[in-house]
Amino acid sequence: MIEHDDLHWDGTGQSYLRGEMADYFGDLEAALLRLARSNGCRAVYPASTLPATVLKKLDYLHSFPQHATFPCCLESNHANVEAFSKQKIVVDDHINVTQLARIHSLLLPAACYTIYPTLHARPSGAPPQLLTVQTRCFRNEKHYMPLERQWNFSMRELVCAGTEAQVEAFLDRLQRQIAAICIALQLPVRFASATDPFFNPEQNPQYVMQRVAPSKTEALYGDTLAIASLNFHRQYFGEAFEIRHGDDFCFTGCVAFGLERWMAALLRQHGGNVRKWPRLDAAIAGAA
Amino acid sequence: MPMDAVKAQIKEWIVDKKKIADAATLDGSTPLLDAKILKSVDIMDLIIFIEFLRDAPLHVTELKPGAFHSIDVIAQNFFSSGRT
Repeated sequence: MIEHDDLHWDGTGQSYLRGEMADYFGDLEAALLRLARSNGCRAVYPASTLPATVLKKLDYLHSFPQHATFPCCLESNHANVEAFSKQKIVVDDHINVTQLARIHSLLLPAACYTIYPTLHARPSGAPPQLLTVQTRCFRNEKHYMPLERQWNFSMRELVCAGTEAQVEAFLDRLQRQIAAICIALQLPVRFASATDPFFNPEQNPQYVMQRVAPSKTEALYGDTLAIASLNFHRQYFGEAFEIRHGDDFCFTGCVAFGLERWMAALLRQHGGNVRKWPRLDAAIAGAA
Repeated sequence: MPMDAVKAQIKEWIVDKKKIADAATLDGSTPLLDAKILKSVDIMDLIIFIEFLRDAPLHVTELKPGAFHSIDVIAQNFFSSGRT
């Protein structure tokens, strides 16, 4: 398990960075935003939740219910809130709640889900829509590891929506750039096809499609730690949100970076003296 | 079942399922997914049909890329002697 003086791990799947680790994390955030902008992506700053109306179109909760984390509030009637406040609220490691209000949203499980509902129709021949977003994401897991598998983590995504050729060119370019960045950071990675962790995969058409027509490529450090992924969604989101590019539904693709995992890979590769880690500015500038 | 009969049955299933007006436009090498003839939800139904035809289960976690590329490829993958 990863340990470092500048890393506090609370055991519930959340890490706290300080000192040199926090400084480098900030540089990593800035560097990935520069990479996104150099690829023509404009930044968006969304809310931290997905509303039920969007979830219905994404079909996320059928495919990945095991990862869901719901934000919830107390039912607002006075008696319920008073009953909550007068009891022993915190018991050991959990919070005793009284009646909860209806749940209307989901804490973000991936950054790019905030983007698809905001895309709009483009005429034939138009350039692709290019956007980037970084959010805190939440995925409920059976086991957690500091920086490598967290409940609460940071994800930077770059999204392209356009024609099939435009999206494929975007993903090809980003894969080359990720490879170049990893070389500059002296991080050995290999790219491999992957499938998403569907619940009951054998019953999910999306899983079967990912098996027979691979659409997800991961950059793997140490053969198992996916520090980035490139995803070709075909027209899944274009159809779900009825976004057209010309006469056809648009194609979309996204490139995701798990920031804590990049920190984990750098820590494993270069050791605990963060000041000796390769500098990000040169790596990103060289790749872009 | 002879391979030609297998291919004919799969073609008939696709033509019927997707309501293809001119069956002659669909041959053994037509790219079923790339040409958007079949979608992901259709693949699940096709798997059930293949299992019925060959009277044996098909394990989706062992599917290889391109397994449903065309009628010829499907027949080769799931009905030849070296099938998966």
